[in-house]
Amino acid sequence: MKILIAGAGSVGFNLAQELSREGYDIAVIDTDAARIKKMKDKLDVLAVNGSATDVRVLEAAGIQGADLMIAATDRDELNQVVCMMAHSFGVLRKIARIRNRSFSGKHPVVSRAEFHINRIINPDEITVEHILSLVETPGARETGAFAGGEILLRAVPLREEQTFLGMPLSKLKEKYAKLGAFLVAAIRREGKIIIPSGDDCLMAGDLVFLIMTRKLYPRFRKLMGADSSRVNKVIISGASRIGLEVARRLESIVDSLIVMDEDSDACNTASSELKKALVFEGQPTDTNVVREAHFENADFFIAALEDDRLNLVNALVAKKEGVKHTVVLTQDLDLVPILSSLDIDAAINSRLIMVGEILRFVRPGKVLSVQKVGDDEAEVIEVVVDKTSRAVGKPLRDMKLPKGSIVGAIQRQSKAFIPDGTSVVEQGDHIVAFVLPAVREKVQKFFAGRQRTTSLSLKRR
Amino acid sequence: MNIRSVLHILGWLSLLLGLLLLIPAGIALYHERAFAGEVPGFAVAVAAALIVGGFLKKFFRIDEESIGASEGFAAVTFGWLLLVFLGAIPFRVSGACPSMVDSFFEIMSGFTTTGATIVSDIEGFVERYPGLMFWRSFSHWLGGMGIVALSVAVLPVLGAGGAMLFRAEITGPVKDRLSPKISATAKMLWIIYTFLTFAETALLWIQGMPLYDAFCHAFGTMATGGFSTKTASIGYYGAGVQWTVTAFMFLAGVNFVLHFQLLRGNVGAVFFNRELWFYLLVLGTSIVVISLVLHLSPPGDFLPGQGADDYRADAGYASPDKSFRDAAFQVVSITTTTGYCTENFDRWPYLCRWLLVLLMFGGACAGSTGGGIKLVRVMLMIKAGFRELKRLAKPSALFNVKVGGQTVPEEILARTVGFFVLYFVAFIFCSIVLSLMGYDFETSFTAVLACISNIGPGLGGVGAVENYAHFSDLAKVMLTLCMLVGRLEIYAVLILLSPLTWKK
Repeated sequence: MKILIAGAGSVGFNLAQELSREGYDIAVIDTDAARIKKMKDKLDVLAVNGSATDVRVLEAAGIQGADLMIAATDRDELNQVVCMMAHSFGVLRKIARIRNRSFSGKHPVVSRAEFHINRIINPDEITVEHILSLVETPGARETGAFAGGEILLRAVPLREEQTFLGMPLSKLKEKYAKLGAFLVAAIRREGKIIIPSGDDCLMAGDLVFLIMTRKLYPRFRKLMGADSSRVNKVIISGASRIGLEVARRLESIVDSLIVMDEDSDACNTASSELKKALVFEGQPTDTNVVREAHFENADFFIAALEDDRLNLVNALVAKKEGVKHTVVLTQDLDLVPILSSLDIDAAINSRLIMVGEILRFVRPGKVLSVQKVGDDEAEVIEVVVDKTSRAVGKPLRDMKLPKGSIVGAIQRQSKAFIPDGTSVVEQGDHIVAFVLPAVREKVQKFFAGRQRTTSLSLKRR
Repeated sequence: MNIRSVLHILGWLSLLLGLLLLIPAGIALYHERAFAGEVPGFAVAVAAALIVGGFLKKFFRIDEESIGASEGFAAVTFGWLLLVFLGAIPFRVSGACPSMVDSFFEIMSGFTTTGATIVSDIEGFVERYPGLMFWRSFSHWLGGMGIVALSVAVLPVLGAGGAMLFRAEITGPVKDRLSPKISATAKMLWIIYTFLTFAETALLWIQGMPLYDAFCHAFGTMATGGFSTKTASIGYYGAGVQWTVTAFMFLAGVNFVLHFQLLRGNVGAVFFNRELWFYLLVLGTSIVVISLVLHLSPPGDFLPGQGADDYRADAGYASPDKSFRDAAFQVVSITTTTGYCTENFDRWPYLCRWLLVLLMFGGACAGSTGGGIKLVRVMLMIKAGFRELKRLAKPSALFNVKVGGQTVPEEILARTVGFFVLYFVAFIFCSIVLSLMGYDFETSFTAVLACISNIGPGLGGVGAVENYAHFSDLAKVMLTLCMLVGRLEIYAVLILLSPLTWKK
């Protein structure tokens, strides 16, 4: 399968890297020669320097015979035109990164179909959703929802006061059996991801990746102790598009909401658009602002400025001033590796989320959902079990899944549950699995059976 | 520099070589009557290649992400050295070559498509060592398009790193990529190359050449190598074979990307390729000038040397037809850096010899199997030179160097200048060393040139009817390195000598 990607920024680069690793033929187009050079030096892809709306450039990239166009530049209008041109060339599927909400499909007249776009991915929207799910689970480092929202993933750091530390997982499961089913899918200990067995114990300082049903979720919050208390006060730094949208959504939920920005125009907009929120003109490094906004009472600090470095500094300041949880929004992917070593509770990289979101659409048919975890250390995938799969009719413990993978949940019709070793897999089940990157492909193939490989002749290197 | 990844790649190359060695080994086995040392020689080489390869592959892990430009260069350079080492084993073990240095020289000459030999009695050698003689021609063929490129095409292990390896081995200042995946590009180039080789073999065979010789000569032609199975080289055969070889040498000197475009029906891309036009211009002019000089010169203008006293009458330059055929053959052979001969061009009049030496520098097109500086670089240098003139005349104006209407990035120009400088530094240094060793000017100048440009024959002591056997071991080692430096286009080898490459 041949995929064209317009835009070689960090989204384009990561997509190209991921997809070429998976064996697709990738061509990337960008006007920036330096980005193209980086592509050529780092990846096994065809990189063409030029405008993605230039017919000659498109032809040089091999648009004739391409199966998918991903318009991932940072300009809405450009992405729209690229998709239209791809349509003229007969490219069947087109994905566009578009911020403008007018195309979200809710308007009766303006629609994405006019631009021949099959799928619009709005980076702001998914980022906002992500931030909100973090606020909903105080203390969580990462969140995710699968099987139509029935299955939740939460990554929570363990602190010393928790009672279940040092207990083997099998015991833990018995003890909390009355709560309902949950699964410790993975543990990050000292920077390494471990997929645990029943004998492993949880330790203070671990980051635990839990998979649970939505029903269990309220009790899980209680179990996490102090962290589960209601979120009363949230401070958002940055009245950007994302900051403002988060504020709008949180207004009705929290008692006290503060939005701050240095830019007075942005502040004016924010105060006129928001009903309840208190808007400050200034930044968290300003001691007066800190005093007036009473950081020490805040449950959440969301750093949503457009400058990564400012966000980092602001979050560190907020933490020092006594905010319980900090969430940092970043754009620069190079910062991701160092974030875990800083005193920051959760970092959201909108580009990485974006990549995951696009991949979800690109990966053929039966793979429904993909979420990258941590610094690209693991992934959660959702696969539909095909009738040709060897898994059909077998209990999980007899399946011999590759090391580095674990089945976290099964959704059958509308019911989702956490399986144990005796659970038998049926055709049509949705499998939610936590996998390390090295075995992802194998696990996918295992459940998707022949269905996937034949329809797309996907070749693994 | 990630040494482990490099070693892992070397392991794969070694395994590949072990398998490829089975082909000449089979031929040695088939000619059982031959001298008994040949088969054991191949057996040792195959075993060594498989063991070394298996060992390297198993004990060193590859990290695809870590393969950058310097790893690519290191893998290719060390890979070639390893292949030459392994490939030399049959020559030494069988006793065909008197020393290890000679064995290295012969097989390096093979892999780098130089075609310089230390064997003087070729026919006798073919009689005694049919497998070895096939192996040295086969090594031409492997080295021509590039054995690393072959591994990129057939081995699925390299991933993104394959692009780096491919770039380090394929010739020319700009490397075209024909497909999103580098392995597909390498595959296409190798398929075209194989097809042309078989086509030539068939044509030679139809004209009565035995299949063994037809294959050897086709390998020598398509790789622009120059090893023959006859002491008299192509001069042994008739006009038909000579024209066939001329045609295929010409094709081998063209950028293989153009062959691919032609196959795809993209005639425009071929027609508007400036380097191709320049190639035709260089060939055409040289052929016309040399055939006129050959035909019109009085017997006294031909130089004394081996063979008949009246060389002009002996070679038949009274006939315009023969003059033209020899001129065409020799010009194409030298320009494409093949190095086949039909006549002893060392006895030709001064102007012809001088022109041939000039052609030795230029070489063929980028992306061909030929060696030398490559015509596109010569073009770029000429254009860049004249641009400076324009700049001096109108200092405020902006002048870009363009080829075929496309602006050439300054980065490429700078690298081309760098290439020129390093090429000449290496060339001059080695020629001086050779003359220090007591070889005359003509010999030391053209021997180094013929090796660094991967041609084979030069003038004087390394002329068309001479060979390299008479050089001292030290000189042979140096010339062997010249071949490698020339084939891998200077940078790949010299970058490993730079301390910056190794600094952490």
